[in-house]
Amino acid sequence: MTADRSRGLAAPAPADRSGAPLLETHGLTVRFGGLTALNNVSIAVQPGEIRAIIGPNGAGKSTFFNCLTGVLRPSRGRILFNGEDITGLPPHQISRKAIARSYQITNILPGATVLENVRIAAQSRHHGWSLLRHHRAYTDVLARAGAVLAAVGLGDKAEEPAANLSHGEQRNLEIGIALATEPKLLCLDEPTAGMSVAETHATVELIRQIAADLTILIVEHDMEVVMGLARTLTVLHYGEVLAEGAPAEIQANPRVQEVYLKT
Amino acid sequence: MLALENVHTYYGKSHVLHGVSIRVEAGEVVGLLGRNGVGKSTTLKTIMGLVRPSAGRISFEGQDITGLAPHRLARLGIGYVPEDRRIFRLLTVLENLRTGLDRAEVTPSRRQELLEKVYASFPVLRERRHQAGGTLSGGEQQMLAIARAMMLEPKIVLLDEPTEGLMPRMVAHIREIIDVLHRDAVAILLVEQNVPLTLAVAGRVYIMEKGAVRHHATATELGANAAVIHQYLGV
Repeated sequence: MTADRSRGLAAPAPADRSGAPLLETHGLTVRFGGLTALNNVSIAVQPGEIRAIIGPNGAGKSTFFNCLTGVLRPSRGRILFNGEDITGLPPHQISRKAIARSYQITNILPGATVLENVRIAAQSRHHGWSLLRHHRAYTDVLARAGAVLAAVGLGDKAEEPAANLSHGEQRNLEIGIALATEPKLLCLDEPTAGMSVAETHATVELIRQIAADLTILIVEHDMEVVMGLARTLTVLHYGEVLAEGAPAEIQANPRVQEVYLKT
Repeated sequence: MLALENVHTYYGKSHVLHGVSIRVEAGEVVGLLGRNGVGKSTTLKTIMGLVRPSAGRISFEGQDITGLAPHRLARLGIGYVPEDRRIFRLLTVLENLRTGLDRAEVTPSRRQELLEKVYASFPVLRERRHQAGGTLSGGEQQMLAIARAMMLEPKIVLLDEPTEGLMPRMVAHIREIIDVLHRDAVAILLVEQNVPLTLAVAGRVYIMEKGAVRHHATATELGANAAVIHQYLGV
């Protein structure tokens, strides 16, 4: 699909792929020298799903995200997004395909205002030269940025320098920056890391709300967050899919408990 | 011997430790369990003066050590083995050990004694003493990091996930090493995610979640409390 995304706010209407997964990986394998970080990982994520990827340290979760977002090129296997093969595309092209990632390490520009942070991300959807020529495009960008700020609960902080936000607000701004690129798939890397209990609850609620129009992949160690958000969990262990299922099934899976408790 | 009282630590704006209180008595092995990102390593870094707490007090043998520099804490007898081990990869095994050994107050004969003692506990380090640290396996590097901490003749050692990424055979070896330290009356604060290992070597265990201690029990009590283990460490 090579729809023209240079104008307008709404994502282009998808081709009829009803029932088909939004994201599929087939036999995804990543080797670093002699170390196999991911081994033959095949998953399928349906549109609108919130899928959690869990696993102990070194299970391959970040490597998996790195492949999806073009940071790493897999040694073997394929990644299909909306039916299109995106394996090995560089990050900026992956971003154009409407896959966004919010990072553990914050990506914000501290000296810019909250609105500017989101606006710059929203502009990435538009060509620079056309932005200068078409006032309409600019108002679109501003409208988009405003809508995103409202969605992440930062509407009343739009004119504040991003540096003034609390840690929790900065993490939510990070999600806003990802949202501003109009993704269909949002990859969240430990969105509640370093947050207080109250901030964590607020962020879970935020993710639940934005999930209405999105497909979300989430890597997170806080099991309360994972179980509260995801309908399906994929458990990675030593780079392989150990188990996949609903939260209750995963919790009842003795192999998964063994891996976590190292018994 | 070591006491943290209501310690709060921030990384920039991120409030990581929310009033942590932990005690380790002389010669005691204490476990600190919890999932990734709950503040276990930050607790050790705060004790070791690598991050300064914003509030709270840390004392060692009755002396307030809050905010002291790491080298001064090392001289007081606090050893630290960080999660990434921090061995000198280009120095040989012996040179790595000497970084902790070549202190003015240690006589040459005492140096030899200390070396012989760690070589007895870690025979592989004697075999490889002229080999560059970076060429050791992960498990051997972990041993070297612990051995180097022992060169300072610490009263307590802070161990940060010593078994992470190690094969089961090496995990068993690390367990023996902890037992050896314990027999020598060295206190240990052991950060781990390996529940069986921690229950086997520790007398008491603290469990952390979201920057706070949520549970505290003897290893025996905790071993019999599958529900708590599952809640804080399982899935």
